[in-house]
Amino acid sequence: MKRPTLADVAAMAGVSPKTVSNVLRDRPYAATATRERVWEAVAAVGYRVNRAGRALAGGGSGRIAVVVPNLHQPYYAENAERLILALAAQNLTSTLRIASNADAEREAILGATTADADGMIVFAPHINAELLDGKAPNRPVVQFGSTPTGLLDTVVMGEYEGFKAVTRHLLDTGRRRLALVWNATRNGRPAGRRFEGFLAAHEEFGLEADPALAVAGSDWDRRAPGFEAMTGLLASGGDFDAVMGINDAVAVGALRALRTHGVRVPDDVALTGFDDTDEAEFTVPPLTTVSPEHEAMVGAAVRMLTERLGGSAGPPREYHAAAHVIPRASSGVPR
Amino acid sequence: MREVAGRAGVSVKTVSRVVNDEPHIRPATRALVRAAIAELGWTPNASARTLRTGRTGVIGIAVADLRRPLLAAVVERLVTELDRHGLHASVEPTHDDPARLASVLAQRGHTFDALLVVDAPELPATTAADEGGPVIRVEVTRRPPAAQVAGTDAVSADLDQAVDLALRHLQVMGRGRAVRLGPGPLAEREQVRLVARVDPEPGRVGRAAGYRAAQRALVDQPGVDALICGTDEIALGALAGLHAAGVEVPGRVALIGYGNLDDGRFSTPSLSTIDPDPPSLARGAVDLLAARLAGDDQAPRAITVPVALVQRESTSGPGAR
Repeated sequence: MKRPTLADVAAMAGVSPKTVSNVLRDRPYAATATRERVWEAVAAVGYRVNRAGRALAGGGSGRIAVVVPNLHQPYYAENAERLILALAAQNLTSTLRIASNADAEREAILGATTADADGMIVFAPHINAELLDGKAPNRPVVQFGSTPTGLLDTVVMGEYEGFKAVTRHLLDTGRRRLALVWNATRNGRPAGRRFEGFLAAHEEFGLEADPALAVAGSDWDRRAPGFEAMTGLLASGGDFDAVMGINDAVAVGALRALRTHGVRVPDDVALTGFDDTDEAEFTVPPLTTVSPEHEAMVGAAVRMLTERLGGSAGPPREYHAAAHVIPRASSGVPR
Repeated sequence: MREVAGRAGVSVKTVSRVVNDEPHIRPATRALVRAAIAELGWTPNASARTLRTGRTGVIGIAVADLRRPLLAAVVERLVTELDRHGLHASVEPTHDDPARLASVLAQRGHTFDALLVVDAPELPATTAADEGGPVIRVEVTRRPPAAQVAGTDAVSADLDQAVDLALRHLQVMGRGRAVRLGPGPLAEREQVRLVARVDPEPGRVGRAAGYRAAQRALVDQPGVDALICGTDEIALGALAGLHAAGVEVPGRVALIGYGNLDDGRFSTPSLSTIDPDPPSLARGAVDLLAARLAGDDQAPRAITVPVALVQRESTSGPGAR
């Protein structure tokens, strides 16, 4: 039996093949009634929407834009790479864009700087619903990590569970005075899901965290501010037996500061990070970290995107990834 | 702009005339186009340039792999430089797949105005600057044979100088029994041919490769007192491998790498390395690109950018002889 084609759908729906293509690709040209007719015709003729080559079949380029804030933070570079490979496995080619601030993120999501893409996967640490002005983009966009806006399909990282688990790991192994090396926030105090997990673990143990042990460097998300903040805390004479970096890069900077000051890790002070970067496995000592289960996050992002490319409609969805601790020597029990 | 035209039921040319506020357009048509622009939330700025110059303002950057921090750093610098010239960048990972590279090259004149190719193994013989747009090679860790690069602009880190600097530095530090850990620019150049080489097991890359190769070097080359590591990633892995084997760095074995990765500033000991100067590479490449886009059609140029030795603890720290 001959396989139904786009032309068959068009004939049954009484519209042009171009209109069918627009409806399947969720382009905003067709009236609701037309859309319904097309989808009914799709069902009636048994046309199978080819998810992988969808955009190609409809005349689009099949290109997906992957948008990251930068490439120096290993988390972004490594996951961009994973996404590109996963998209390629679905026969989708990708193009990578760097959007280094909130405005650039917004322009990428709303399509101004990504006109050649049929869909997008966006790392969006700056974006929120307000910045998007309540606008939904005119093509499939999946947000990878960061806080959901309610406007986009989002893969949510297990930040709370992950940070709670690694905090518990330190408390379980007998550490009691946990210092935090964080990214600077507007009001100077740690915030966010990772911090909430940190507090929750303390609560379970009936303990209170010491706010004086939370420090941040003067830059964002790099090894150098980790070094800077840790050096500052050491100079202030703060008393701590563990250091928790908000991520691996910051923890690596902190490690250097600790060792430069003759502090032994883990014998004097335990050290942990977050992100499970390639680097963390080969520090000296190897760095305990949290895996946000990158592969599962990447798989979910690509799945949600291909479903939207295939024409799936409906409200924005969230996929909540799990996270687990990878214990290494840096948080080992002191001898 | 195509979408606006489709939405309004007019030609792309008509949209452009409305956007550029040209006279002699019927008010009804103007209103239709403006309404379409508003409904689609389209910003004409980027495409207005398309009309005047026939270009997209997008430059493709082909790169093998983003998980290699040095290449990611160079790409980031290229993006910054392009931004300074008012150009957008589109990064295209190729994983050294010739078909993928060919497909990216073919997008010149369509999606891209021009292409920067970072560390390409080799370009297809038919690559020519006039086929849709300029191509500039940016060579950071490898340099294909001269015959293959004839005909294309190239901005290259001085890999010969890199090896010279590393060898001389180790000599000054009194190391006489160096071993190369491959792969990578410091391990593969002609000048180090006479130095024993240890390669990682097949399938291992980056830090994991360096970790095991360093431990093997201790066994295969007893008395080794320095490791010349092809890249910083290999060197960082080697550092961890030597530490695990209880070997002091630099006390017993000195280490030098290539790339000046940020990680190497924060390792213990900190890592001596060769800095290929990504900012200068990027500036050189993008300035050349801008000249070509502006119409410079003189013979292909080969620009070599000097590298620098960065002395840190792994060769010069306490314990170094």
